[in-house]
Amino acid sequence: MMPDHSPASPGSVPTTGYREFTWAALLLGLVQGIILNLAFVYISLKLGFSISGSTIAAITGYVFLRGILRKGSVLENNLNQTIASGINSAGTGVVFVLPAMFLLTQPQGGPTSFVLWPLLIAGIGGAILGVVLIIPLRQQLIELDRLRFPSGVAVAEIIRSGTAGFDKAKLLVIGFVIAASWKALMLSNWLEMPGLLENEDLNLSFGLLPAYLAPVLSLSLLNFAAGLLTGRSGLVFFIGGVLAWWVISPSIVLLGWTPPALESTELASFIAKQVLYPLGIGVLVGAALAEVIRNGPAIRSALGLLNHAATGRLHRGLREEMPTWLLITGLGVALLFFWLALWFTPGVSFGSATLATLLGVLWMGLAGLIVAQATGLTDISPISGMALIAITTMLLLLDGNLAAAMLITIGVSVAIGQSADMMQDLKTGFLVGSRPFLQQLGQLLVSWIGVVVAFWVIYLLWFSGGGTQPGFGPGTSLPAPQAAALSQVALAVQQHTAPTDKFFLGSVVGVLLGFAPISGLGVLVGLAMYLPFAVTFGYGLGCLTQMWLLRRRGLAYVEHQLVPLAAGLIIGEALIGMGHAIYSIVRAT
Amino acid sequence: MQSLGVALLTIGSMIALIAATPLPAAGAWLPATWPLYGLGFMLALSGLLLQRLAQRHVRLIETATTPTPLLTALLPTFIIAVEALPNHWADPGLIAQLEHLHSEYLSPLVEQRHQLYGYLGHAQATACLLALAYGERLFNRLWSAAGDGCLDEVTLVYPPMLAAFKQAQLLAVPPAPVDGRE
Repeated sequence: MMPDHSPASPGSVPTTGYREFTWAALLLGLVQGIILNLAFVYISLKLGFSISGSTIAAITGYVFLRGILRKGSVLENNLNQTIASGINSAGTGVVFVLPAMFLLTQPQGGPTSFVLWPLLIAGIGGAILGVVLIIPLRQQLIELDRLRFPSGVAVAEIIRSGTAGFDKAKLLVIGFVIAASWKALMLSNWLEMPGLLENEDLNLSFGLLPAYLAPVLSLSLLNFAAGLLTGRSGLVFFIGGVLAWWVISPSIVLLGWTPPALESTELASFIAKQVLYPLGIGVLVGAALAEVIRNGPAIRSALGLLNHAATGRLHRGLREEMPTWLLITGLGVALLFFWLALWFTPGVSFGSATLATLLGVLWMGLAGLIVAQATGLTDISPISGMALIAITTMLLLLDGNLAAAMLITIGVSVAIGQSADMMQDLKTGFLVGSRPFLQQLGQLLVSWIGVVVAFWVIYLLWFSGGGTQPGFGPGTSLPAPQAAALSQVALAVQQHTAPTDKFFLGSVVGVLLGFAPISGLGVLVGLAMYLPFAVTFGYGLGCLTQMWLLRRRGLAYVEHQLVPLAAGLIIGEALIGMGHAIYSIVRAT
Repeated sequence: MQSLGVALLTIGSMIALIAATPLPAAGAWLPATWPLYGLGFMLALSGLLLQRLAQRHVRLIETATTPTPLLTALLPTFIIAVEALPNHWADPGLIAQLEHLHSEYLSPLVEQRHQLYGYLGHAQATACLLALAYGERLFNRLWSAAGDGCLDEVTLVYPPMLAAFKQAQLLAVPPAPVDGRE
């Protein structure tokens, strides 16, 4: 049956009634976004990680818009998924930071000693800023650099699966079944063998290789599929991991620059946490800074084109890009929100509030670019690393004022989460032919809702301890591992033990790598140092496999056979992983 | 020079990163190995400068001798194929036809886009690639509308899409030198 394309939308094309930004897409996106936000905040507090909601929203959108309403279009589902993930990803930014504030100020539970609303305003400011700061980079990252955004490609495959032909849909389903079965098998622990296969990581040392060489391979098919979708451009990431773990790590052990008392896994853990992790964050920051300078002319030209596109390139009289005045207004509102939030925080002077606002917003822009680039190149977003830099810098700048530093950190976390999510959605939109303006408008209108919902959930959960004990944190049923880690860093900065030397020295090398002629070199090397080698290794194998297939079978084979299969692998693992997380929580409670 | 530059950048960066790893002594901000770090940095910087010089040299040679990039060569054939598309509007194989055009022309054009920078210069290459990308997005929209069975949208998206590809074709040719000027 042919879908009905009757006009039913607040902003759709009047001439043909082709459904794009419809009430159905908006309402379904809102409902899904709020539900996913509630679930993922809880999951994050329980397990320490979150999942992008785009895949789930796209599948539900497909079922609801096309299956139940029987008049949904490809573009309408793209809008639904953009709105849902915009709300959901804002919550992810909040849940990394806000619980840390509760844990640091009131470790015994009960009423909090800090005022919540400035943090809420900063979170909303971050949501606005994350969208408006990244919009001018759409053309650079998606249309010129052509970053792959593996999850964005996977979502586009889902959205188009109904009309892309039986063969592609079949490959998508095959990929889904393989990854879902594999993930279920891994989660069942049937294959677990201590010392060989633990927590989905295959130990390749076989008792011969030392732990400081990280001879471990992640058996995640999602990770492998992200490499399959990226191919040659992601290979530097793999090489970065090799240099970190097979050159730097053994070198410093042989030179005797590690504590002599440490051995085996303790030594590997020291190298990862005390050396490679902070150095990697530094390299990421330096490289991103260099790329901003290097791409300055291109970014300026993109801004000029944005203005031209917003006014001059009108498709049938309809706007294609977000107008510049709206971006500037959004930026102004966000700056005002940050300044007011800081100004009303006890112990912050007028000058400190102004300086912290300006530096915080600059950092949000740079960190947003880093995370968008990293997500575009590898599908991995180093949000926690960027938030750690924010808390370190702000605590130093604001003379140890924890509330004020947390306020900027929450803004940074929400903003960079929004930037990465917006870019993934815009990539999906490009692949299905959506108008970027409608996607950007949709996300800008709703992302603040995600912040409010996440605050509400976290506040409620804190008082679930009955007022006499904490509702989450170490020792409770919701350990909040990310927040606990952030609390540790905040305490380390206050005690002047944060590895600022590593951040600085890494960033200087990052600047050099950022100016190297290979696009994304510094960001990928930094990311590879920051992540466990098991992840980099699995991803690199995916890149190498794609390159081999490209050489053997050609570009058309990769685009039409490999892409839907890899998309299915990503979706299969993500859905089973989330289903298992929810099942674990329900069973435990 | 290029290979030497790559080697120096790699070795220098490695030395700098290795020298950055020791924990600083009590009361010091930087580790005691900072002179080694400085040496690595200088090596890496020399490598980077050499690479840049080599790249500039290669670009100068390429500008004078580069054969016509794939994008410039393939766009006219692609546009002829796109101009024939309206004959297939009512054809049930329209989606297959669009996929064929995408894999035969658009994907290879996009894959080889970097050739354009040396051939046209940065500004014109950027304008050309943005016009191509705009056309590609409308092409994808046309695909979506065709898949949804919305022929009205297909016919309305087609003219601006074709115009964008034609604009990219115009921009894919280097400007003719003006008489009396370099």
